[in-house]
Amino acid sequence: MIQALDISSSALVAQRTRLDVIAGNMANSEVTQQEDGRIEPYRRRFVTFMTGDGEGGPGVHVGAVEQDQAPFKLRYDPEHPHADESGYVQLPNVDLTMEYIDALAASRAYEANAAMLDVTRGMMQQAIQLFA
Amino acid sequence: MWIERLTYSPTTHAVELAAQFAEQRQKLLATNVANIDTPNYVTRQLDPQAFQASLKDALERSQESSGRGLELRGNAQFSTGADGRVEVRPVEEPAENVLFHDGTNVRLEQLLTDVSDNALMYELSTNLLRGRFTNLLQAIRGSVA
Repeated sequence: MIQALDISSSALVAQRTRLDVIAGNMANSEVTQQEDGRIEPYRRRFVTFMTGDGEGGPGVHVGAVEQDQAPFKLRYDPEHPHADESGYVQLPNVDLTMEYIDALAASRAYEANAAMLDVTRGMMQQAIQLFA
Repeated sequence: MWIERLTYSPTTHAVELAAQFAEQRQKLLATNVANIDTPNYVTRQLDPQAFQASLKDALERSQESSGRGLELRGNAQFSTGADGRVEVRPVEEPAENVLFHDGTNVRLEQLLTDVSDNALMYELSTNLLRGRFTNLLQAIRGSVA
């Protein structure tokens, strides 16, 4: 029974990591410069889920955080300091609508697992009352 | 031990096995919900109706032989191990997914219905067990208070 709790909490961690990555994408959706000063837009990140808790137990975990290799968006803005010689600025390949929908899905999955945790907790409560 | 002879009854054992089965199934259902967004994850399941049928057979066999232990057999999904505990071997859900292309077949509604069903089965088992223990306690004390 304790293991069922571990399984549900592994899923909560995985879904929260997914939400963290989505938040990062949204926050960086207009960023045109890298941390080290290079003029290159932010690349969208996404998580891939793998079954198992990563240490041999059951559950789910984030297998990897990948970078989306889709092409960057272009905007004509010759005044921008990061514009190329023909006046176009490269912008991150983040689509806010897609991120919103992904965030919604992650939040629903989080809820489902939190509900699962509650049911398991109720069952453990029942078992404990056997001693009472 | 004498106390075991006093407290043992096939029906109590049956209720214990049902609780153990519900515990194992809960673990499985938690895994299914946890992997709801994992590509290529195929839902695994245990059949509670087959378990109950198997338990019924075991009870009937125990009555015929007036023997002691209950033994679950004849089903690939579960059996009683050497220590008398329920061992389970979940099977993959055959339902095909026709809508998505990520290789999964998780149906959240069905899954959560199963979760409620399983929690109620566990509650029933533990309540019956508690009733049994209360009866024993009353017998030991010689009073119903």
